[in-house]
Amino acid sequence: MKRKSIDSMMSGLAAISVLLFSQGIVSYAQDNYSNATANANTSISTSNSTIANNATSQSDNPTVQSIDAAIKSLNDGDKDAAKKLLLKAEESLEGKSDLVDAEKRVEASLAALKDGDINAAISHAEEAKNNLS
Amino acid sequence: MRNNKLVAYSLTGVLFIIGVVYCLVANSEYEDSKELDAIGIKGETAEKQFEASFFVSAAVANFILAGLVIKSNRNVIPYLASAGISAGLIAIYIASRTVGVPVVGVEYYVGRLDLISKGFQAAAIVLSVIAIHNIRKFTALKEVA
Repeated sequence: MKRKSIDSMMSGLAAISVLLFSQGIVSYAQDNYSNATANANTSISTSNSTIANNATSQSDNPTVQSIDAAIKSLNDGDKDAAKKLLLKAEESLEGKSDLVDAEKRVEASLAALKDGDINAAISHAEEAKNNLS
Repeated sequence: MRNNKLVAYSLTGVLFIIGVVYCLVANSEYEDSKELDAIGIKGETAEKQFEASFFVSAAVANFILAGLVIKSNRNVIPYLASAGISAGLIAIYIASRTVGVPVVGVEYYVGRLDLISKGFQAAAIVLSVIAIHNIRKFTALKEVA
């Protein structure tokens, strides 16, 4: 009885260890994914900076302009400006039932920014912009 | 039964940590709601307030369960409740990131605190199942004796 209890206890601890270990792997994978996305985003934003600037100037949509400016601020490392611009975009999307997906992406970008995950913030902001175009 | 006490103490600790994580998330949502309210984004403010209330409720439920588990004497109900509530919270989280949930809809961001709380909730389920298994085995052996 005692041995079996110890066995089940050890199984439990092993299960928890596996869970915590897998949690570590998930975090590691998430970081790697974020870094990969960051690199991709950086290269895309660098190579397409001229295009982005043109798009900003060409777009008549003030929400898209705000998101573009927020992405630029995020790339420049200006978190406060990015937050203000994303909130401005959020405000303009408020109550528009056909643009819920874009609004949710802006919210995700704000949440990522709050978490300090700049790459995810850029990625979600890009998605929000795609949903608007 | 000494081993089951160890499981009970571990589960109490895990439930307490989950409660603390939910308090942190609720505080973050409350801060966001204040900020959004100041800007004048009313719809999102209401959503954040709802989320903050939900997370406070989840935190309180986990603290209560932690207290019940530590006081439980070969009673499976606190363990069943712990496993059920943890499984329910994981299910709600998965739904919120896939098909959407009422009031909030679909959320796209998966945060670090989310992953931490889900990991601990999975651990709470495993520990609860072990405790229930041990209690049932002990009861069956006692009946035979």
